[in-house]
Amino acid sequence: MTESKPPQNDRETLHAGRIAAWRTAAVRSSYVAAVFISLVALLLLWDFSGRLVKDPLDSDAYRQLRGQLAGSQDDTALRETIRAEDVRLRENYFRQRRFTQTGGWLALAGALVLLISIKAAATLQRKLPSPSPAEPPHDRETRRSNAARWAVAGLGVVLVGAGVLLNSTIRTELGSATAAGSKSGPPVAPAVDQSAVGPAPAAAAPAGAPPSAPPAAPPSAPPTAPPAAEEMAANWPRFRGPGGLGIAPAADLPTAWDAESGEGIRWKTPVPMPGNSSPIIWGDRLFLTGADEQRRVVLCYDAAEGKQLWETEIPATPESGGKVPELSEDTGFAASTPATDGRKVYAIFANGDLAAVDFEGKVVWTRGLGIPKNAYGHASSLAMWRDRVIIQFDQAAPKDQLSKLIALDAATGETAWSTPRDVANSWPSPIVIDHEGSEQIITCADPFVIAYNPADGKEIWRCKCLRQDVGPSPTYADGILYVASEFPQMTAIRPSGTGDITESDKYVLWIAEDNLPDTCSPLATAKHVYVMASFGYLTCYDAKSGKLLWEWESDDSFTSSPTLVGDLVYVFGLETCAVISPGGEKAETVGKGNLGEECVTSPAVHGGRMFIRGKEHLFCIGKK
Amino acid sequence: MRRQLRILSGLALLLLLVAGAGAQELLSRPEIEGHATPTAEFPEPRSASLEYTDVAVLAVALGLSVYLALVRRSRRGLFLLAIGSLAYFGFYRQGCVCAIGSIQNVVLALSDSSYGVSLAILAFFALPLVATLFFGRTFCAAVCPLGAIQELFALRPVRVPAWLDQALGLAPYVYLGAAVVYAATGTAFIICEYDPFVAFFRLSGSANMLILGACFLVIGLFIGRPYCRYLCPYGALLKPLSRLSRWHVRIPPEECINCRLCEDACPYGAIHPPTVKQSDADRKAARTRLVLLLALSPVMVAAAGWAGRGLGVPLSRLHPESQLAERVRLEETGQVEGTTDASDAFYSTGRPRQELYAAALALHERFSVAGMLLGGWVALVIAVKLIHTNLRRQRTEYSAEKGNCVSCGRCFWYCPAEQVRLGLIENVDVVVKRPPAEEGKS
Repeated sequence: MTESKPPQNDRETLHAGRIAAWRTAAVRSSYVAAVFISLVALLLLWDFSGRLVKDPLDSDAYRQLRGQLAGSQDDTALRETIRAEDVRLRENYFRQRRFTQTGGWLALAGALVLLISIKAAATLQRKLPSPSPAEPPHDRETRRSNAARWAVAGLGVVLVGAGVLLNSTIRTELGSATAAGSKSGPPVAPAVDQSAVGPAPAAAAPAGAPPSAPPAAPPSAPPTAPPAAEEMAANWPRFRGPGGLGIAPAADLPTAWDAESGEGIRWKTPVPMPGNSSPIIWGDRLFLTGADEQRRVVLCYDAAEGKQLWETEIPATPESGGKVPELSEDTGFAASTPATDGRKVYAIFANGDLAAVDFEGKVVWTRGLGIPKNAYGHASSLAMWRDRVIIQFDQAAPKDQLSKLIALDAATGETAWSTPRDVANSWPSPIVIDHEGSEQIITCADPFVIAYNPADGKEIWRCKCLRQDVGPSPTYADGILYVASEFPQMTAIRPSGTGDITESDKYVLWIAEDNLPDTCSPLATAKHVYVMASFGYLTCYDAKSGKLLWEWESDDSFTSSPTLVGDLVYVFGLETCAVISPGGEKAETVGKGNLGEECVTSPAVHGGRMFIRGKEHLFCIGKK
Repeated sequence: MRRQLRILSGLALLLLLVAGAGAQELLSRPEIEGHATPTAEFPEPRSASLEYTDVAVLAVALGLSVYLALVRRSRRGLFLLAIGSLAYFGFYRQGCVCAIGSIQNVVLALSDSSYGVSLAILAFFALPLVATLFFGRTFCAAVCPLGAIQELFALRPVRVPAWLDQALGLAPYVYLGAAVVYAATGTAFIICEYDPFVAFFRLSGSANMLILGACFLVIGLFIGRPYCRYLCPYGALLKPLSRLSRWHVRIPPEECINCRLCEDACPYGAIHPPTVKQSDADRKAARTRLVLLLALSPVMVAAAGWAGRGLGVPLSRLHPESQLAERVRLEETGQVEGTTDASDAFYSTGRPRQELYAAALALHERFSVAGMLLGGWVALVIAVKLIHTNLRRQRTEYSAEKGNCVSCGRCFWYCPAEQVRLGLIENVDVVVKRPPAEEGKS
């Protein structure tokens, strides 16, 4: 029905001629533009191949010069050479940047001319189509609509599939985080024996009653509120037990035991990871930590039978970054004793990583404090105050201003407060005392004993009475605080003051200088204070006057702190153990024990039994 | 020659990539002592007068486009105007401010009272819509820089099958829905972030964006305006408005003689032939489907909305706070090693992790609602499209489908009546041989 026709008159011929001329011009322009951008492209590629793509300073010559500088810092000429090279490389870099930018604009202009020329040429040589003869009218639209309908429906299916795929592949990791972190919601830790968090069997039982095994732990909903003081007192929730005082109620413990013969040992079980941390106990569960250079674990045992219930590895936090801290072999990577509130177990390791693990062994939160700068390795154990975990994180020298006392929210691991401390790296564990209605966190370090308000971390008082490497933790009895270190003294302090009380006779009651402890923490009652020197002397002082009353001597060396159970003092030397009956004028050895392996930890006492960690085993000392 | 030119145009494209790729390097500061690090400087916001200049240029360009498309019917004029728009809005203004992206500003301003939107941005959002409502998509024809660059590259466009064109035509509505969700939640301006051509306009950009842009341009050599037709969210707004336009470009200047010369002239599939009477059976089937679809549509929308609620987590993943919370949690639980810049920055703030997690969970909830709305929207679009395929409009002549036609004027030249109007031929019979009965009509 239609067809193109050749020009029919002069006007059309003239028009066709003009079009042909324009088309030729367009084609030639496109050739010129193509050659132009080819040249620009070649130049840019040549420049690009020779440039330093990542860093202009990443040149061999420059690195070599800098390497030379490391060996001769005072070489002024070398410094000048490096400066000159630095400037040259930078100038070269920016020259190349300008070159590329200019080239880019030129290329863009060339591309524009090329595209326009091509389009113009194509337009000028276009011809009207010659449609094929018309077919009889038939309904193609219905067919097309049907196909379109299926295509649209197909796309709908694809979109649904994409939604399902997205939903199944992209998941959140936050569900468990909030469940664990919610203060009011249920914590992740299930199955804490409710009966076990009540009064301790040992405390409730009259002295002399046969020890009974802790009750079994039926699964039940864990408590959510912070434990009451009675609950804490009924367990052994931290280093040296309730309050960190090293005192347990009277229990019918054996006065002699021998791991080789099994006498006085209810069970012993191997500990799969090394560590100098001491055991803690809540209900029927006993917790330990262990670590080496690569791994950090929290271990849980059934206190009744010694069966290991679980082992949870604590992942490295970003703050520690998997780095291995430098420390003394004697300290190890798990020297800090964990703490528990009966809901979770809180553990800190030598690399500054903390973790909260529920009673089923699930990590609830982790927290990294960074690798501590500690001469021997971090060893300070954790303390609890209400729903907070207290960390004495002392590092380096006072001038470095790195030491801190930190309180974390036990539920979430978030910082409740953090107080800087002007003290050197230290190894004692903080204790929380309630003195005349005033709760205080007591810390020891070179050179101060400092008391803090546990609610906000504000300092209450301080006393300058410690020096050098401070290891023993403070203790408290009958309104008096006792702090000691191998150098220069032991000091009895009435913790009622404010500010610096160093020079106040009102608060500094007495000092003692004999047989001072290196690592063992003092043990105090209302009448007596006992200090265990590392060279084997247990010395008793009068609590009120500071008068030396007696000395008990051993050939062994000691790092474990003495523990008072009823009216007997239990001491664990490196190789020997002893049970001492302290009197007012002299001490009497009433029993001896042998673990068959080295021991540097302090015992836990619960349920009429004593639990002590040796170098390789965990022991339960108790009558069968 | 055409093959050679195609190779050369590909070379030009490669050149653009090379030129743009060098602009992302960062230079470490000198380590040698004594070097004073320059203070960071931030560019001043564009002055109000320059903003109004942009609006004025837009208004003039729109007016010119309407004039050239509807009055002068000049394809050449429209093409030159497109190059001018590309130069100004594209390379000079570097793709910003732009009508397409302005959707997000407007949406965010509507959802967040603390977010202000300038009059210039409002003008960029509204003027093209108003112009389209009266004159069709003249904005797309020669004012939009994204349309212009694609128009330049449309060297050998082929027709996309109608069924595929219809299906892919849904994508802009989905993209529009997603862009609205992310803008309303303050998450991101995804239209701007994934603008495939902005890297060319700025001669700078990430390798991914350069490659994406290059892909669009290469595809655009053979499929006309792929971004405009199958992705542009602003086009999704313009399309229905254009269908309502009172004065839209027509293929013939006056009456169509159904010569079929323009039948294949439109690379965008916007020229529809006269309709043929539908058979009774087809008409009945279409009517049944229509009733079914009308009844099913609310169910589809409700079901998709319900299913969309489950997309809260995936949708929220684009939000920076949600991403950070997930990353921090992974680091906390040891599921990943190392840290990212974002997590390092978070740790340095001392902000509690739990607070971050709570904020992220609140975002999940918010995005669940957004997912429900998005699901409903997508289902609604599909339902309308399905309904649309069962409707038949009677046409007696070759005409531009107002929604898809971008008023580029490409088809004018193919109309013999237009050639007569331009004086290129004396009458249509020079190029058209018609049955004797019709000859007297022209």
